Parts: sequence; structure tokens; C-alpha cells
Amino acid sequence: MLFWSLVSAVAAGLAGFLGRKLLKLSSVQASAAIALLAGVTLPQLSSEGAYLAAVCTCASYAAMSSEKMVYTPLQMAGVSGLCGLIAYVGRDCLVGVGGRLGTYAAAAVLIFAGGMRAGEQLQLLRGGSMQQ
Amino acid sequence: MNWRGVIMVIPASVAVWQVLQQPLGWRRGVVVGLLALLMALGIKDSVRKERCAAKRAGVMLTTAFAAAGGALATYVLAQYTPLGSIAASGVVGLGAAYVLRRSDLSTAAYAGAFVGMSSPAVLSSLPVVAIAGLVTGVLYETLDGIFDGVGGRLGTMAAIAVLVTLLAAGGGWS
Repeated sequence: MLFWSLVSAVAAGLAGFLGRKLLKLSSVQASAAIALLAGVTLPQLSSEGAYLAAVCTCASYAAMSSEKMVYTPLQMAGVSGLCGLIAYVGRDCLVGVGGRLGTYAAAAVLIFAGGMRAGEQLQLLRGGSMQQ
Repeated sequence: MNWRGVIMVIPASVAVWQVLQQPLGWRRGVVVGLLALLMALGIKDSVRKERCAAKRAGVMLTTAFAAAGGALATYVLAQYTPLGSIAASGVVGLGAAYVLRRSDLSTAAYAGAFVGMSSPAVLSSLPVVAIAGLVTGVLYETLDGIFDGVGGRLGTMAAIAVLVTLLAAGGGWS
């Protein structure tokens, strides 16, 4: 289940990202189109379809991030994978509360931003110790 | 971090608290702790220091009504048609992006659509959904500049609005 959660999240996140970049869709259009597509098709395909549709929708919200925050497809894939992981871990949290998928998406983007910041700090530290 | 930033962390904090209520092994505990630490770093970078100009009451009212409209439309589609909440939010989002394309209200309406994804066990009637939608619109304008560019911020606002409405109504969810 975690595997399919990650796969569907990465696919949906990249679809949203590329939809905005290549098709020039607005963030709302791209996310809503993915939500509609996932919400209509995935529940028909398997018993876990409803859960996977929620994961795809969560990743589509993360794909609404600005270019300043997430600017390459690889970064988007990373953020989407985090969405899939968080949606899996938090599947029993905030049940029935509207906005919970958006909360998970925001958490994934913020964790990614924090990771990038931590990486930059580590590189600075490493560079400083090399100079000494 | 100012009070507006603190408000945005409420739903994630509730979710983390609920995760910690489940039996966690030490490995999962370390992973959750590490992710929480990275998230705190990300939050620190994503909160703009300066405050945005105060919004006019008219602008706030229009945004609140757009969000309430999105919430009600999604809730009705999700509960009274076979679409389900996810596809319903997609329909409302696409509709808002088309109908409100000449204004900035499509984003507010989409934020409201997330409120409408709530289950009837949480938001049990249309008036309650409308109130949560109105709260989302007010938050949308009040929290301008907080988590700008972070995907999921609209959903976070919707979750705050739903939780606040639940608290105000004296309810909860199981």
C-alpha cells in the first residue's frame, strides 16, 4: 500500500507540475483537473482506489507550490513522494476534516524546504571547515 | 514567528498529536521527530516578516462569500451526487477557475471547496458548512503572506476553519 501510495503521489505531483509548466494551466486548474480525474477513475479500479485518489489529490495540492519553492521536476517528485508518505502515516488522522489533504501537502512542502535549508547549512559548514 | 504563523500550524499539530497517540516503534518515532524538525526549519523560512496592508472590509466579505460558495457547492455535489468529495472538489475548482477567471476569487473559492470535502459526521448541515466556508475566506485574507508559495496552504486554511467551526459549535470528531 505504501508503494502504490508513493507511486501515485509522484505521478500526480509530476502531472500537476508539468500541466502548469507545459500546458500553462493555473495552479487551481491543474490541481482541480487532477482531483477530478483521480476522484472519478481510481475508485473504480481497485478497493484501495479511494485512498489512492486522496493521495493523488494531496500531491496535486503540493504541485500548486510556487516556482520559488519547487522549481525542478525532480524536486516535485521528491515533494510528492513525501506527500505519499505523510498521507500513508496520517491516514487515520483528521478523518473527515476538510483540508486535511492540503495540510499534509503543506507539511510535505515545508519539510522539503527545511531539508533544502539544512542541506545548504551543511554545505556552508563543510566549505568553512575545508577552507580552514 | 508571529501569531498568524502559529494559526497555520494548528492542523498539522493536531495531526502530529493524533499520530503520537498511536503505538509507535522507536524507528517511526525517530522518523516523525526528524520530519517535525525539518518542518519547523521550513516554517521558519516561509513566514514573511512584514505584515501585509490591512484588507478592506468589502474585499474580505467578497472573498468570504466566494469561499462559502465553493464550500457549499462541493458539499452538495459530494453528498447528493455519486461524485464523491474528491471529484466534487475538482468540479468546483475547474468551475471556479472558469467562471471567476477575471478576478482573484477562484483561489478563495477553491479553498472553500476543501471545506466542502468534510464528512457529514464532522460538518453535519449546510449552514455549518457555509459558516466554515466564510471563516476560510476571512482566514484567506487575514493570513495573506503566511506560507506564500507553499502548496497546500489553502487546504491548511480550510482545515483551520473546520476545526474552529467544530470548536465553536461545541462538537468534535471521532
